[in-house]
Amino acid sequence: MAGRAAAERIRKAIALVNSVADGAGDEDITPTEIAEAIRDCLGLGEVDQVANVRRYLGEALDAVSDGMPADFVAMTLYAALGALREGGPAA
Amino acid sequence: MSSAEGRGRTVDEAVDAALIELKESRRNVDIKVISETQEEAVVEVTVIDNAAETATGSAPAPANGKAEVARGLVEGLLKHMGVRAQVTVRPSSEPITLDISGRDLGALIGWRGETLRALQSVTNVMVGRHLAEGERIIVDVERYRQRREHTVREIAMRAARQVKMTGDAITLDAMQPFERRAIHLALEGDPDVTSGSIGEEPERRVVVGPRKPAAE
Repeated sequence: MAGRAAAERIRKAIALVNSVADGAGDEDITPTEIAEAIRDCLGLGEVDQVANVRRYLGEALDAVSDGMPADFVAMTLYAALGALREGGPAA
Repeated sequence: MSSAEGRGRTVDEAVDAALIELKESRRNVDIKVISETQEEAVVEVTVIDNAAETATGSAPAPANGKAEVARGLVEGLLKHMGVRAQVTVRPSSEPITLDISGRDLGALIGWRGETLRALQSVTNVMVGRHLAEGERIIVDVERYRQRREHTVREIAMRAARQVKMTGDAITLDAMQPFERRAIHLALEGDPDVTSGSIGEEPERRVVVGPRKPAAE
């Protein structure tokens, strides 16, 4: 899969979002931490090598800022991960 | 729904005794540890197989508008994905739980339940406007989630026994939030051990340790 490092960071961001949604009750994750995890992904050059990955990550970041439900953020991050897996070249 | 009480020297033995009485396999039952001492463990094992209940003609799940909307949407989604599977609403479950069953659904579960978790996210986004704030839909494929919860609860019990014997804390493997919650809930009533978590997602791990006496 293209962009292994990017995929790992996206997975981390997804895990953080899922923790908020599923609530194990043993941690306190803030939107700032989720936003930081997404910004970490955006900081990698790899996300520009595959079409749509940066766009989905940007949408996920906006969703966090707008206070959208965790599942919506997670779905957008999954879309970024999916685009990375498919690995089509950036336009 | 039938249940049986099992007794044995260990929890595993007690569960086996109850399973023999019920003529059931572990994947179709819910296990509750009633008591556990050095000499004997007592468990209550309850059959949770919906398919068996449906086959014997028991009443279907009570109509629930939201659950039916969610069921219909997931069914449509699976159809678009080319997955042949049945979607049913788990009776009397809170929160609303959708069970997906069929053949060869491993791909729907994915590595460590990742695809299943994604499917649940998509479902909640699709059904979101029908749900109250904070309300969520749980999606389970071939009872993976439930089986996983049973497994981690057993891991928790085993870890607790070891902690009581050795007095040393044990760090378990990295787990998903619902798995960690199952462990915390399984051990919260135990007066001798305590559970907490360390590390960051997705490598967050539960630590089971001896409960320290309250400082005077």
